[in-house]
Amino acid sequence: MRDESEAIQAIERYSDLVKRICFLYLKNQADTEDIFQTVFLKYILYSGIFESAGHEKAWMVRVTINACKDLLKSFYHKRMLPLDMLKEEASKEPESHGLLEVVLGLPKKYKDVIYLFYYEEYSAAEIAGIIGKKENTVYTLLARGRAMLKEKIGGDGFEG
Amino acid sequence: MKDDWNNAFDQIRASEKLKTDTAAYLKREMEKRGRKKQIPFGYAAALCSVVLVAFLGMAGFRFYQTPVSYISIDMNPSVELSLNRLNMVVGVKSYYDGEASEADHLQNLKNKVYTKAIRMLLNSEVFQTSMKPDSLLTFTIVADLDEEEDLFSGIQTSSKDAGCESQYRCTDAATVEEAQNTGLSFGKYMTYEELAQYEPSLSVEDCQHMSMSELQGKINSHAHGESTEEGTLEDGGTESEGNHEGHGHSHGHGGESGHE
Repeated sequence: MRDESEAIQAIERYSDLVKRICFLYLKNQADTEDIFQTVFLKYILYSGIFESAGHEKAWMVRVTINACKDLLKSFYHKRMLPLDMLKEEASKEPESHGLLEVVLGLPKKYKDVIYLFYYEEYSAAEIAGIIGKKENTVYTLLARGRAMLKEKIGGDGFEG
Repeated sequence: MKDDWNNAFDQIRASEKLKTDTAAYLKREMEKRGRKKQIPFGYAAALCSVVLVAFLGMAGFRFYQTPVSYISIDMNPSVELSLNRLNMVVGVKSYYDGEASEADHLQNLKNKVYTKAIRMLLNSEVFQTSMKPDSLLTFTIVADLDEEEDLFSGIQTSSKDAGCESQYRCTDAATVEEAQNTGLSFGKYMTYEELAQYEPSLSVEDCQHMSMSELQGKINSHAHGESTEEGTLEDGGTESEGNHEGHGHSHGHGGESGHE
């Protein structure tokens, strides 16, 4: 088991990352807090060794995505409208607010690959390893997600 | 363009309260686990005796019987194994032509370590009569992250003499739940989902009578055609050291490159 200082360092390093992934999947603050506790508890209890900072970060991404999916599928999960989170988090910049809303409006199977590719700048091969799908499937999801973004936002900035 | 993404997502940050609350929660959990190690020896010895009796009793039976990991073995037919915390088989379900059954003829796999159960299954008449040189044997795991590596290793060792091509992958509890009542094992259902992305009109019923090699062949045909079209638009990518699906002996978890 990792110690308290390692736990605090992990929270400092990855809390924003975990928050962003929760934002893609979840609809309220209470669920986000649950996922935070779950993910960082798994981190301190994880007995494996991370081979690099990149390995550790990819592990956090995958555990967070899986925790969000498990929560959404749980029988007792109650869903709330997303508007409260949007109001809390919405940017003051109209363009950015539009992009954020559009990404959140994508079907769930495109949201995480689009986020991981464009914001976290993972390659399709790396994304495939993180989310447990074939590389070709990730290419397909990126292409379709990109097409949806282009349709809603326009512009030529979605070619890769 | 990159600025737009940064502007959109940079604003999403964990609040100090969330970080502080999480740190406090972790501290409580660590203290709880630490306190468990500080029980006086005499009391601990007595407690261990009570725990041992309880384990041998009903609580132990429930512990033994509770599945925590699942392996779907798919060719055509399909078999799902449920494993307990000791990696012993506590449940067997078979799927053939859309019919799920408790597989009376495979109940001898129960209470075996999963590696032995897999060897027995692959040598059984059910699989031997269905296996051809061009068959595709697919193993799909649902397990805790820290169990996957060991399970993969055991499965690969147990199946190395299968006599046909094998592939290994992981999925999640959501896929298992979605697969229920479809007449497909969760491993075959995962392949159906992948093919359905290319063929939206494909139904579960269509897949029930198809072998894994037929399904995978269709996926490969579609993917080969699409990747040729999309490859020029994409970042060529680095060769991933940790692909989550593999053929033969390769598998992994997480990405390896640093993007901090």
